[in-house]
Amino acid sequence: MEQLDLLQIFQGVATLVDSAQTEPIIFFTRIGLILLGCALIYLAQKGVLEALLMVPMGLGMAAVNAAVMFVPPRMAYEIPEVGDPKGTLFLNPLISEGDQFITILQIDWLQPIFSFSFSNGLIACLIFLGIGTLLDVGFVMARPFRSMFIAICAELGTVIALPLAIMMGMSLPDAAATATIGGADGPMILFAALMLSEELFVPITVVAYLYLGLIYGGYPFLIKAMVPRHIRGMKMPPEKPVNITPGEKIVFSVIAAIALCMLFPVASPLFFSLFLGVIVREAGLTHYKEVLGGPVLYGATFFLGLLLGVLVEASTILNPDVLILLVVGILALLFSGIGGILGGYVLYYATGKKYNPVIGIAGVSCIPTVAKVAQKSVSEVTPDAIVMHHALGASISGVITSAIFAAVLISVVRAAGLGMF
Amino acid sequence: MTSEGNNRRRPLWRRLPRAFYWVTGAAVALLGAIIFRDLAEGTPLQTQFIIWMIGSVFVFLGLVIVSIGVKARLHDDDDDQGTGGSPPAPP
Repeated sequence: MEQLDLLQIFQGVATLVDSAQTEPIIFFTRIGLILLGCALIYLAQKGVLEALLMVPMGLGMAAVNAAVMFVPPRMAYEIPEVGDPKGTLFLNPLISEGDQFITILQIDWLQPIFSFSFSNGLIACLIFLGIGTLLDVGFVMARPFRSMFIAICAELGTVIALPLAIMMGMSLPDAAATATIGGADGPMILFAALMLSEELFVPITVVAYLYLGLIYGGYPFLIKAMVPRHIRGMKMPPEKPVNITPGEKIVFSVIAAIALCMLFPVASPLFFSLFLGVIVREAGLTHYKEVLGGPVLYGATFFLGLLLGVLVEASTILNPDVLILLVVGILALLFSGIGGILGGYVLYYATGKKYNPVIGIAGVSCIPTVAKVAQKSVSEVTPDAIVMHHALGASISGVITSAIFAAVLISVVRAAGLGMF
Repeated sequence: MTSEGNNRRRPLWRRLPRAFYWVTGAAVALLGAIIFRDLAEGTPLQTQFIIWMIGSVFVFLGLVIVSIGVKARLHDDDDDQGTGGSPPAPP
């Protein structure tokens, strides 16, 4: 009787042992990523991180790193015309040739979704369409100067992160993509990273979403550090309610969309998608609004999380620039928060101490999280003080401003003849 | 005091019709976008960043002017009908 090789039967154990002996860094990174994936699911389920995104991302991350432990990635691609691909068992992000693309499309089960929605930025646009149907630009129109001023101040992190990343050794495209984390807008970061940074778009987007998930816990400490308790709890003078009609919001959105598309053609898909969503909402197109704000938004968010998760493979994370990215990313968000609060202080003094500077944090565009953070920080001191409508105005302006800054960065990098496309 | 009296007390820029703000705001935003995009194309890389940011300021300024039209309208009780709204009911 032929002797059975137990390691041939339990290939997972065999390759695990083998990789521990031959490539210990890869082995430990994969184990770490499986654990990180499980931790993301746990933290999402506990409400610490955004469950809609982190559950599929966590499971994708854990599954793909478990999978490559028993099937080496290249075994799945032993096709001469494909050559030496990067990517995971589930998809290859860097396929460019037509023949390779068709071959890979037939092998990797997630490749069609990636190629037809990720690599062209469609998924970011779908999310923006959905977000647009949830935005009420009336909050911006009611107090445009203040909202837009705060939003511009809250881009301080983006402005500081770009030279900082270059000083730390990143190339201009990678630094520009990393700097967009300061805008704190997930789809925008994904779009910019896809346009600018071929090698780093996965870690940039994953790190950005992880950091954005931590904003809710971190920014209250920043507010407490920068705004004394007596100012934090101040009540704003009551305002006459502003009834802005849907027609006025549509005019605002049409002008904003056309002007911004004209100024920044490179980011026009994002501007168009965002304001189309707003117009669908304000035009009372209920059926479209339900589809875009429901299945489209949640479907796109699900696949965004899942595909980002399965792209987090050990070799991607072991890029030395990822360490710089981790540092620059958190600094970008920190400085954006500081910039927003400083902008709030400028308005506090400009209005004769009638403006609560805590609202400044809402200029960081992570809507509606930062607006909730601002309201929560104020309510902790004065429970009946309401700043939510001011904060939402700043936050919505922040979405527009971070799109503008991302567009400027993409335009500058493209003008320099760098970037992916 | 009559609404005519109120109207006289308000500055001229608040008495202008809402459409004036829309047209002016659109003109500022769109002209700013066109002019600064053209300017950026012929300049060195370091200058382009600043030019694009100035263009963005003009777009913001245009949007602020459009928003001011709302406040002007809110002071005019007769012109509070609004536009847009729900689509017509299906037959």
